[in-house]
Amino acid sequence: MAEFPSLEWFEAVRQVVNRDGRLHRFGTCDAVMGVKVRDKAFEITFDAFECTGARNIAVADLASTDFYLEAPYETWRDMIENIKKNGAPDRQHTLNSIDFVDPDGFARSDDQTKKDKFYRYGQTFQQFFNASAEIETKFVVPQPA
Amino acid sequence: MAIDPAVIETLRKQPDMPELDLSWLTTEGPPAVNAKPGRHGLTLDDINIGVYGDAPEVARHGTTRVRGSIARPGVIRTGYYVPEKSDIWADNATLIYEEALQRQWSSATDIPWESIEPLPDEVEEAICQICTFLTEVEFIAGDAPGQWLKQISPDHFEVALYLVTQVMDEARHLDVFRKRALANGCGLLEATGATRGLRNILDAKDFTEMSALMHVLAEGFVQTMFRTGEFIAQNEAEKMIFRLCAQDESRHVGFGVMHLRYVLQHAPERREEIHHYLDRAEQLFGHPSDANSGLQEALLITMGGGKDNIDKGAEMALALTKKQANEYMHRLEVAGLADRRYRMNPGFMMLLDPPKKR
Repeated sequence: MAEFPSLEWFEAVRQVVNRDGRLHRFGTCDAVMGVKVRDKAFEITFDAFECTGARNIAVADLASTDFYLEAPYETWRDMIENIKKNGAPDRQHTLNSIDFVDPDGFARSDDQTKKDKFYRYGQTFQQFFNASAEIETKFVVPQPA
Repeated sequence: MAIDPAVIETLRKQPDMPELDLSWLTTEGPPAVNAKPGRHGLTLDDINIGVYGDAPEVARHGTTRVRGSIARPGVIRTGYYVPEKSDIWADNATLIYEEALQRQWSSATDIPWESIEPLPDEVEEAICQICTFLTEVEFIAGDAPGQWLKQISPDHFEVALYLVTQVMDEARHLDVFRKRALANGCGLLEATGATRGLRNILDAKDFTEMSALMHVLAEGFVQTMFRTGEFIAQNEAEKMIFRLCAQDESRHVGFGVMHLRYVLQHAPERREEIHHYLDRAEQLFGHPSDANSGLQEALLITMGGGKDNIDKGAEMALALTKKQANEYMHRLEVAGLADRRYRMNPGFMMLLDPPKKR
């Protein structure tokens, strides 16, 4: 069982999504995606047909990713639990839906062209989070450092 | 290619062979290359080596001679190509071309059509009105870049290859929205007859004008609309249609932004000219004669979840319009046209958030 949010959790999802080459059918994806949950930050790298890396980063380093996903902890938990329950998100819990209803957006970047990668490769990123249905998640509210 | 002169001489002297010219087997030509595939396979970027990769600033020859090949004297001209690289180029053309090939999908088999079930009449009709509009728009979105294909020099072939993928994408969008309209007991409804804004794109006399109007403005707006598809969609089939179309549209927007950036970096004197194109396009997109009440009402019904929830639909439609205007402005900033913020059409300007501090 992997705790969310943690590097262990993202690494477990990365292993699942790479296991059977499921990203291959969505085509190439070249992007560095940041994830921010309260004061924890992660960098997930996609190269060609794979998710090639996950690592902890400082919150300040999110600026060097192509875009980063930021939402309240409760939104993250709802999304991951919904994916676990259904195997895939329902209409209110897709990355795209969460992005649209948040006035600041779920995907954030100072560079709209880099942020557009979130939309260009949307199916790939959705597939990444959908893979979390195949692991057991323990939710732990991150405490301020 | 390094051909051994002795080999050529030996071939010429073969007694049992007819007399051959063999002048094409030159000993002087581009250097031999040995391109190797990378993680993405063997891509155009992998083979753009040396002279094969040097896209000239000006394409002068006017023939079909492909970049890196040896010129042959006396060849006839085959077309009038846009000569200046800065008039058509985008540094991401190869990347987006390869990506487009990798991320193709089929409207026949990749959409879960079986998930479509009967809908309340007004919702089904609203979906079909939206599909009618999009079928029409995508037709123009294919025609507009298609007009420019024959004007791209072989020296700048990457742009032509990208444009072909866009035409294919738009063809698929046209067909998928037409299929949806005809798949659930309704059909196509009222056509808009091509609005002034769309006609303006088709009439563009300059590639950058066409690209700024279509890729950056129009397709940027459509991309945002496709992303709201989660809320327009009533079933998995429609959700999948909008998601896949949004991915395709994002590539087109990406090309347009990078082309505009290339132009502004390499031909900065064109800045005011580009503003002029956008002045006119923004005005036409908001022109009263372009008001498409059928589409607007259909969006309110679908996004609200039915005609009894128009208020909710209106709230979401306003959020959509605001996102469209802000994302358009952000893309222009990336392209190098940040001053657009202060001369944008008032109808769009009023929707802009304050500029972000950098």
